[in-house]
Amino acid sequence: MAIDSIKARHNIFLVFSYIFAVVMSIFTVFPIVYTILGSFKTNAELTQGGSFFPSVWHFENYAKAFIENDFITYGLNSIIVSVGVLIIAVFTASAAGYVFARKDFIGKKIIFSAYSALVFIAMGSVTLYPTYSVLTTLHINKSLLGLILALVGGQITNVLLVTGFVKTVPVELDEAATIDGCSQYRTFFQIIFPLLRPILAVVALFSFRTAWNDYLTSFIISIFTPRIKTLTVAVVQMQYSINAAAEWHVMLAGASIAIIPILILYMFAHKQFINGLTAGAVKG
Amino acid sequence: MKKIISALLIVLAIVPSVVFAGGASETEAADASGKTVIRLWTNDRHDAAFWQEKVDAYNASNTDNIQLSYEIYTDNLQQAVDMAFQTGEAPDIVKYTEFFDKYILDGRFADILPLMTEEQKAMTQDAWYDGKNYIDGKLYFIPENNTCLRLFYNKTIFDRLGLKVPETLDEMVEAAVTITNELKGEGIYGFACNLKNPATGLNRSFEPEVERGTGLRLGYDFGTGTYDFTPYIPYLEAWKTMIQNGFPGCESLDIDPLRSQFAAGKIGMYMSYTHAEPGVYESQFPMAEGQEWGCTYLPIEEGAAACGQYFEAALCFLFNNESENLDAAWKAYSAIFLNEDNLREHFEGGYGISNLPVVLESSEMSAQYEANPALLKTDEDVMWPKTPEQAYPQDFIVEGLDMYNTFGAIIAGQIDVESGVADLTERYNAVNERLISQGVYERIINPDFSRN
Amino acid sequence: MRNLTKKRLKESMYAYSLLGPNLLLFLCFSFFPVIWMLKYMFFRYGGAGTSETFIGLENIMRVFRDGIYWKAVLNTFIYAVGKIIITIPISFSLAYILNKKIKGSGVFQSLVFLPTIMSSAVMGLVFYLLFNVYNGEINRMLMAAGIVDSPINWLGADHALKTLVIVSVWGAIGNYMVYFLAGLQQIPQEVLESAEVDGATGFRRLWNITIPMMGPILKIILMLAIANAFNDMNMILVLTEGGPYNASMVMTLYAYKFFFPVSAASSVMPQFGYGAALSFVSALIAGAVTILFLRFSKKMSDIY
Repeated sequence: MAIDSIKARHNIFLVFSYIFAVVMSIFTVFPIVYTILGSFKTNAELTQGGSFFPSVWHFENYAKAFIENDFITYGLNSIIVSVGVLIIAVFTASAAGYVFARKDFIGKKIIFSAYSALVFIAMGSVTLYPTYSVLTTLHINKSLLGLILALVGGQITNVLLVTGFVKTVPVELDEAATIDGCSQYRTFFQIIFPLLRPILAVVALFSFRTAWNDYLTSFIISIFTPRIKTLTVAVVQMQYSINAAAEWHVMLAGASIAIIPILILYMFAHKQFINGLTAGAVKG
Repeated sequence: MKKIISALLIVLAIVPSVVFAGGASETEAADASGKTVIRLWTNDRHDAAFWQEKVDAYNASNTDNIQLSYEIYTDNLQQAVDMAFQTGEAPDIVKYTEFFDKYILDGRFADILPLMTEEQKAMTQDAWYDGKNYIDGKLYFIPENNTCLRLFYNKTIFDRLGLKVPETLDEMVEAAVTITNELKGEGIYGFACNLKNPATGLNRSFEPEVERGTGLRLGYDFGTGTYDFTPYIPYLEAWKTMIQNGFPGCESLDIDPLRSQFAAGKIGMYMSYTHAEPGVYESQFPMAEGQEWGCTYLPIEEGAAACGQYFEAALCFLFNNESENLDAAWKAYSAIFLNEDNLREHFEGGYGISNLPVVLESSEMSAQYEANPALLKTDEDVMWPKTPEQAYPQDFIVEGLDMYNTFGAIIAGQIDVESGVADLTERYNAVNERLISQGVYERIINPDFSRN
Repeated sequence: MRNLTKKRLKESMYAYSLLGPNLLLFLCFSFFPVIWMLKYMFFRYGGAGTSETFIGLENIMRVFRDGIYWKAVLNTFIYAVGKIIITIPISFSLAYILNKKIKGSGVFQSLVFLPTIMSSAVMGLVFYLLFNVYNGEINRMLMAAGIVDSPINWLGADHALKTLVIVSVWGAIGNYMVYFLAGLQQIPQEVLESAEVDGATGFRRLWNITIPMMGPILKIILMLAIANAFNDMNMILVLTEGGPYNASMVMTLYAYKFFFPVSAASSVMPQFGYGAALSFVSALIAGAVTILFLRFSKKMSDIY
C-alpha cells in the first residue's frame, strides 16, 4: 500500500476527529456557558428570554449571592462536607478493601457476600428516611458530621474497587514488610496505602464529586437544620426562597460559584484519576 | 505522598472543630444571656420582612426576657415538622397547614383557650370554625388572615381587545380563545395554569371554581355522603378548550414562571390566591410598562347560583403541647401577632387580608382593595367540613390516578372526559363504601353543606 | 491446632480493626435501609403522628395493580436504553480520538468532562430555561437557524422523556469517556504498533484489536451505566417532576413521591409502606436486569 494513501486516510481521519470533538465539546459546554453568562444578566432578561449574551454585565449578582443569600456559609458547608466525605471515604474504603483482599478472618464470607449482594441493587429514595433515622438515633442529625457520614454511606463500590486493586499488588511486598518487623498496621499505612494512590485518587474524586453535587440526601437532612445546607441545596432552594423564583440570576451566580472548586480539583487530580481508573477500575 | 498525607492530617485536625461546633445550641430553651428562646417556624415568605421587623422590635423591648426566633422553612415546612416531632425537637410555634391536622388529633398541639384573655376571645370569636380550628370545645389556632381564590386578568389586554371581564364559564372560554387568536403573534395567550404538578395547580384554581359552581367539595356531596364527579364535566370541557388554546407549556409550568410571564403581559388570565398576588406584582415581578392587573370572582356556569368555595386560613399558628415555654410562647405571640396595631398595619400594607372583623373595620382600605373589591372574602368563601378523604387520609387511599392527576390528563386531552369522570366516581365511591362498611367511619353527611 | 485458632483470632481482630469503620457505615447506611424497607413493605404507616398497621402483602399486591408504576417501569427502561445506546458510542469515539495525542486533546477532554462535575439538580433548573417552550434558548436558536418553524414543546408529554435522555447524555458522556480512556491506555502500545507494521489500517485495528481488548472494561462500564441509569432521579425531579401526566415518571421518582409527597394540595399523607413496596419491586427489577446482563456478557466472552 502506498504511503501517500495511508497518509491521506490518516488526514481524513484527523479532520473527522476534530469535527467530532469540536461538536461534542460545544454540546457539553453550551449549557455551562449559558449558566455563566446568565449569572450576569438581570432576572427579567433571563426569565423573559433576552439575547444569549447579557446586555449589561451585572457583576453585583455575585455580591448578592454571597452576601444576601449567605452563599459564603453554604459554600463553606459544602467545602467542609465534601472534604470530610473525601477523607473518610478514602481511609475507610482503603482499609476495608485491603482487608477483604488480603486477610482471612472470621465472618469474612458472610460480610463480603453482603457487600457484593448490595452493590448493584438500586435502592433509590427508600434509603432517605432510614438514613435520617439512623442519624437521629446517633444524635448527629443536626450537624455537618451527620451529613458527612450519610454522604459517605456504605461505599460498597469504592471498597470493591480497592479490593480489586490490592489484588494486583504483589503479596511479597506485605510479606517482606512483615519479615522486616513492621507491625501489621504499619505495613498497611506505610507500605500498602501509598501504593494504592492511583485507585484512591479515583475514590477521592468520585466521593468529593458526589458530596459536592448531592441534592436529595443533603436536602432531606438539612430540611430540619437549614444552617447546614450545602451550596447545591441552597441554589436549588432558591426556586422557593423568600423572594420566590424571582431571582434566577442569583441562582445562576450560585451555580457558577459551585463549579469552581470542583473544576480546580479536577485539574489537579486529572492525571492521577485516569491512571487510577486504568489500574484499578478495570481490574476491579 | 507524605506532603499530601500531612496536609490531610492538618485538615483532619481542623475539620472536627468546625463540624461539631455549634451543635444543638439553637434548640435549647435558653441562650447564653439567659433569655427564653421561643422558636417559630413558618413558610410564609411574602410578609417575612414585615414580621421580622416586628419580631426584632419585640425582642429588643419586651421585659419578660423572651427572644422569639422567626424561622422560615419555605416549601418544606411539613417535612421539617414531621422530622422534628420524630426527634422530639419540634419548635414552640408552627404555622398551621392542613397537613398538621393529624398532629392536632394526636394531641401534639395545645388548646389555646385557657391561655386567652376574654378580650382576645372576643376579638377572634368570628374566626372559630367548628371542626377546623375549634374541635370539641378546644381551640387550636386563630386564622387571623384568609386567602381566597380569584381570577386574575390582565386589564390592559382586555381593554385593548374590548373584552368584558368574564362572569360565566362561557365568557371566560370565549375571552381566552379570543385573546389567543388575536394576539398569538405577539406571544400573548388567553389562559394559563401551573400544571407541572396538577394537584398544586388545580387545587388553587379549578377545584374552587367547580365548588362555587356545583356545591361539591373535592367531588364529595355532603348531602348524600357519596362522591360524584359528573358535575365537573362542563368545567373540564371548558378548561380543556382554554388550556389547549392557552399559554404553551402549561403542563411543565411552575407558578413563579407563570407569574413572571403574566407580569410581562403575555398571559390574559389565571387563577390564584388573593393574599399573594398583589404583593408579587408589587415587589417580586413588577408589571411591565403599561400593564395592569385586575381581579374578579371565579366564573361559573350561566344560571348557576354561586355556592360556597373554600378559602384558606392564613397567618395562623399552632402551639406545641410539649413545649416547656408554652406561656412565654403565647405571650410573644399575643404581643406580636395578636396585636391590633400590627395586624392593621399588615393589612393596610397589603401583606395579607385580615380575617378579623375588628381589624377590617378599623383599617383604611388601600387603593388596591378599592380598585379590586373581589380581593376581599365574601359570604361565598366558606370553611368546608372535611370530606372523608381529608378526614381519614391514612385509610382513604384511592389507587391509580388521583382526582387532580385525572383532571390534568383530561384537560390535556390524554383521557376522555366522560369515561375519566365515570371511572373517578366509581373508584372514590368504592373506597368510601368499603371504609364505611368496615366501620372505619360512619357516612359523613352535613346538611348545611348539601348541594341544594 | 490451638495455636492456629489463636492466630486466626488475632488475625480476625486485626482485620476487624481496619474493616470496622467501613463496616459500621455499611451497616448504618446500606444494610439498615434494606431491613427498613423489608419491614415497612408489610405495613401501612403515614409517618410520625400516625399508627403502624401490619397489612401483610397488601402493599405488594397493590404494586402489581398499579398501572402508573408499570408505566414508570417502562419509562425507566426507555430512558436507560436510550441513555446507554447514545452515550456509550459517543463516549467511546471521543476516547478513541482523544487518546491519539492529537493537538488539544487535553482541552477537549476537560471540556467534555465538565458536565459530570455539575450538580444535576442545579442543571435541572438551567435546562428549564433552555428547553421551555415559550421562551427557551434552544427553540430560539433552532428557529433562528430555520431548522424548525414553530417552537418544540420539549417538556410536553410527547417529548419530555426524550428531552430527559438528551440531558442525561449530556451529563454522562464525559464520565464514560474517562472510563474508556482508562481502558484504552491499558492496551499495550506494542500490540497496536505491531499491528501497524503488519499493515492493518486504522479501522481494522480499531475493530480487530482495540475493541476486543476493551472487552472486560466495556463490561464494567456497561454495568455501571445500567446501575446509574436505573438510579437517576435528581435531574428528573427538578426538571419535570415526572410529568407531564407521568410521561417522564421513572421507578425511583415514583417511589420517592410516596415518601415525600411534595404538594401544596396539602393533606397528602406519606405512604411509607407502599413506597417501601415499590422500592422493593424496583430493586428486584434492577437486580434482574443486572443478572441478565452478566449472564449475557459471560456468554459473549465465552464465544470470543
